Amino acid sequence: MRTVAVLLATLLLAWPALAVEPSEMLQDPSLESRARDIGRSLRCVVCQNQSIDDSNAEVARDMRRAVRERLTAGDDDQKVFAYMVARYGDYVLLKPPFKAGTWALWLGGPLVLIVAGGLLLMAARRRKPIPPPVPLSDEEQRRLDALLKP
Amino acid sequence: MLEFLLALLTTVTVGALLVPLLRTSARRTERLDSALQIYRDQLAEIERARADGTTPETEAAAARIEVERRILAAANAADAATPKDSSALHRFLPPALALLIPLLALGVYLNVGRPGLPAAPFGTRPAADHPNPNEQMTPERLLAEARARLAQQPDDPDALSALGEALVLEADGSVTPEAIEAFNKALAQRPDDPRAHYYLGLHEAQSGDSKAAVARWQALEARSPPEAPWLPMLRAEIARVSRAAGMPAPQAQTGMPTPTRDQVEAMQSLNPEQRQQAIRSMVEGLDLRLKENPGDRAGWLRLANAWRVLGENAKAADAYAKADALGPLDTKTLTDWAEAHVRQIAPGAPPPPEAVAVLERLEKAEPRNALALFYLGAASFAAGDKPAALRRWKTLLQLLPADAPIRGLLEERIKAAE
Amino acid sequence: MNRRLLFLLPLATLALMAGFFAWSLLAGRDPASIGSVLVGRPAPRLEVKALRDDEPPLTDALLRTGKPTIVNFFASWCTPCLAEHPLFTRLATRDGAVIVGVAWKNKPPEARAWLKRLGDPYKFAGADLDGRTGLDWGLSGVPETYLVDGQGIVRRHFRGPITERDVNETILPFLKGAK
Repeated sequence: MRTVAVLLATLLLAWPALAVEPSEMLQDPSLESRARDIGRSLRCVVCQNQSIDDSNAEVARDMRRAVRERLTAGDDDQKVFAYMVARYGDYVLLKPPFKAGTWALWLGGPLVLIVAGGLLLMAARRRKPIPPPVPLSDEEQRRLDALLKP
Repeated sequence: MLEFLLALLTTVTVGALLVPLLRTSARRTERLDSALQIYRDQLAEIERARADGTTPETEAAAARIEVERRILAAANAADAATPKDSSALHRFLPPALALLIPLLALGVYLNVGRPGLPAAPFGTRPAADHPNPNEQMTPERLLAEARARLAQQPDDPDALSALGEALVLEADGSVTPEAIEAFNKALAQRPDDPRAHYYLGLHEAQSGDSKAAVARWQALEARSPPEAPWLPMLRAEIARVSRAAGMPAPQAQTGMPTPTRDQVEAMQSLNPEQRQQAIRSMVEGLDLRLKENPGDRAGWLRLANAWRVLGENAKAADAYAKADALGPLDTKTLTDWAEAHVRQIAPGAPPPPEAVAVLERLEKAEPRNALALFYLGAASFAAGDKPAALRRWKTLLQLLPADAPIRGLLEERIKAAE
Repeated sequence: MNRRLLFLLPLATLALMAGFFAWSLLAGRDPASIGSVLVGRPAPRLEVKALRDDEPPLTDALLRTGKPTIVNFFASWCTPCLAEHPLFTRLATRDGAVIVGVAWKNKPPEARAWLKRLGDPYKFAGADLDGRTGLDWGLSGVPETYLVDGQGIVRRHFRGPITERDVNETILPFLKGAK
């Protein structure tokens, strides 16, 4: 039981570390938690697949600061996202919007699932029951006996 | 000791590979035996399950037949494999490979390797190979050294281009305006300073004029002696810059192919006459290749030089003219070209017009060039322009050292002109 | 459906993927390219302090003079900036380009020393010490370069150092054509 507890504690310690520094955080806890939510869905533009909250890049720090400034100025979340998209494009959103250029991204997964599932179902229906095995011929039986003789 | 260990390791490795190769046929029957053992166990398992009622009668019978068929199939496979094992191929392949591979390796080594190369333990290598890390040439130190030299000799081209180089190193490889100034000053003192030309070319490449850079570097390459230490780096830079700028790759050196060791040895065994013949045939080969590929400026320069060395001055002058049409020539090359022309002149005769054209260009590039002064003076004299002839010859006279053998001849001519 | 054809399905998928990867590799496609939303739009606000002493701060008016302008974000600590710097010097001296330089997250004395050593191609130079202006310009790092036409519209956005090819194929035609 104790080993399990220690293991769990170790696992908890292994959470990814946030790059958000205490000095960047807002006084108002509700604003800060909104800033975290937004930061998690904004892509750091120089690090391929990290959110700005996870990244130590200079640009990510600037973007975190800008998010907090917009929130303090009274913007709602949508406006903050729009602010970033106006500067960096849809690329900055970790969850891309559904539009002409991204339909393959959104529908590709489900489509493959449906097609593969359908094929599997068809294959299962077509499967014939296994026929009973043909008994060994006399010659085969003789050979087998010879082989199995210790 | 080391050789012994290496041999031991090789033997062990080869042995480990060889043993299974040789033992395959024995292994096959063993494998069938162990397979049979497993199938026997499976049959017993089925029988047990049937007996205690966990498997219905019909299913047990089907499973039994399935296993029995597998046994027959395994036995058939083993029978089919055994005769193949004893085929000639399998018997002779391992020893043949064991013999062939080391022989092949030895052949490659003798061809590519240097069996006679003496060992070079770190301790006995000359000190230059591993400089004391404390005495590393930092840009600051190089800069200080170059400045100290310039304080003594402000016009020393070596010190000027050393200063430029140190400035470039200090700026992490960027050729700064200050460095450009130093290189230009060095070139004013010595127009073909290779270091200054290299870095000015680098500056041209950095500031978006790769074409000029490559042209400058190729000219530098053409007039560098073949053993010049900067040539490999220069060639690499030419290739890098022309690739980066999307220019066609510089034409492969149509120059004389570097002779192999064998060729050099063969050459040394020839008598002087035969050797001359061999060199001529190499140069003629280069001439032919250039006729097919006339855009190779470096190749023409190389050919011109070769003809000049062989004493074929007319051919050399033609090759210089071809190179000249492809790009500007520096002073050293102009001098060689003019020399190829004047060597064809009969003693006492004035230089012909094509020689005068080259000499005039040389005089323009280097007003105090002795060759240009002497022969242009002769040309002026022949054309009846005595003042010009006198001016040139008198300038030359002042330049000549007191014990120069040509002095007497020159003084005679001046007297004749006066 | 023919069973044999079904076996070909994974093979066809593999071929399709291999084709896509080969195209990605050979077509010079850069998956890290993040594009730019600024192209075709008016240039963002440019309000930074001057980098050099005794000069007025930079304003938007610099970008709406009727003449094409190059805006270059740089820093003395950035090695690619060192590589592209001679190209800007050449554009300024040989081609008469108006170049606005913005030192991004760079202490002004350091940026000034850097320019003093390498030469200063910038007609106007500003300092964006905290990166706020960079963010407005959609900057992802230095160096980045924007071509702004005489009406203040961004026509081109280079992320990373410009090259000789960019100068010959894009910047010089832009300077000639956008007058």
